[in-house]
Amino acid sequence: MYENYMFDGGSYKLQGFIELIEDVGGYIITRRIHAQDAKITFAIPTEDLIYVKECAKEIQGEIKDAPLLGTEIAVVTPTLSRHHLPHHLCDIAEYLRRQGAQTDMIGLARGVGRRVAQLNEREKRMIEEHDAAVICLGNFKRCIEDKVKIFTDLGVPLVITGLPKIQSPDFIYIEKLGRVPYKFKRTGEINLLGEVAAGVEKAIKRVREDISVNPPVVPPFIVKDEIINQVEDVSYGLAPGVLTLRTNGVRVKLPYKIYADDVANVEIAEYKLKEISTIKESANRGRILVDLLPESLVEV
Amino acid sequence: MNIYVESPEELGSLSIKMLIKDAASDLNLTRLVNEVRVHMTLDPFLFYMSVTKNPAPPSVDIDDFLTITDEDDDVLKMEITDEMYAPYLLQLLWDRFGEDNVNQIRRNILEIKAKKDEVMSLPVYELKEREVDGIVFDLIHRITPVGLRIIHKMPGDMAYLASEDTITEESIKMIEDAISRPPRELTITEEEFMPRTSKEKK
Repeated sequence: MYENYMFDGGSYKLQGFIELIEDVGGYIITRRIHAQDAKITFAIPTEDLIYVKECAKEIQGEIKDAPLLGTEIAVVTPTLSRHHLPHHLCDIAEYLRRQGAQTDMIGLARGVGRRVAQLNEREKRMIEEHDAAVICLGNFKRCIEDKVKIFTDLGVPLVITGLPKIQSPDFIYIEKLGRVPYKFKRTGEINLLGEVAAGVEKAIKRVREDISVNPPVVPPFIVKDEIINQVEDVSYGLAPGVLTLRTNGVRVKLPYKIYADDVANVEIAEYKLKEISTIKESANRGRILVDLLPESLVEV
Repeated sequence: MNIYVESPEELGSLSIKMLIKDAASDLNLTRLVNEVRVHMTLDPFLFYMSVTKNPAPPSVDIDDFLTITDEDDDVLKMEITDEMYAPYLLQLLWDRFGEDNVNQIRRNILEIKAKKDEVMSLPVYELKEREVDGIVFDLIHRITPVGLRIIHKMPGDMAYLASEDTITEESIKMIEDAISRPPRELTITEEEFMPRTSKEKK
């Protein structure tokens, strides 16, 4: 069973640490080395964690859990106006990134009001491409209860935030996080961000449990490595995080119309990527979305 | 500045009060406004907001933002020293002397076919008030929920009723009745809702 971790430390003698991760059969997911500082996210078998921790201690580094590593989370706001952005939404996105997640902020075109709030088809598809969605709503119970109805039929786990206390079996709800006009600074407010991260973690755990019943042939981080090795233009991509890991696939931030065939023909073990996944065009800027098929659906 | 917010949900009212406080402080409005009153109903969804300005705003004189740099027989060359007033001033000069006679050489340099006394006696006392009005409108825009796009002007200096549905005569009457009563104070405070520091901290 692979688990995700984050190394935070210096770059001195780092090569030995990286080699150890590879020796135990682990995968480096991101590697950011700036002068003397290094931040590496990786996945290793849980039984080998003790050796990796020892090695990190020797080079004055620290190993942290990264429960959301390899996930892509949508942070959804009713509009892009100053009434809803930036403020606490940026805090939420930043906090989730510190837990290892990749976040996308989505502002709805017509998400305002109570009766008039709408979610169009393209927005729905964009949100559903993510592993979970954090939806930030307002201050009044009556409004949230009405507005939440447009989100509940989304096909992803939902974490909804708002000011009043609400209970619903359909989504995870975090209270005390309504419309505020400033960035979080008080002790209580910072703790709320932890609650949101815990809510997202809970939702992702459910998704991972569902996947583990019938897992894909290869995990997403192997697919990511192979795409980097075999599709040369990925290294020239200008998008932030050209290859983004998702719980059950990868998002390649290259145009679908030009690179879909190249990605489909990437060889992984004895398969081509198109044989073990569905490759489709993303609703977000026509990029490539790779969804790995469960093992039972792959033709041997 | 007194802020009164009334709505069926106490916590929601407190959050609107916090929003107003923060926005007013951002806009440096606290000394220019005496009272802000908000009344909300959720069924129908109505948002009433009124702002009572301080009756004595700081005055402004034309010398504060305009300097005559050169004076010919019939042409004045002048510089706008505070560009914040430039849009108001240009409009005023166009109205008074005609657009053909006002030559804007650079962003803040003007040439006008007029006499010095005529220019310096232009009525600018209301510019400061217009400026304050602009800031107050900004406050109203920041606070009013963005989905409520149907606006009705209510009696009073700066009082508006906003809704996402058609505003009926009944709605207006309901709000007029509500605001004719003295405002209620909130029973919960900001500190009770979200303490500034943790209680465990020593």
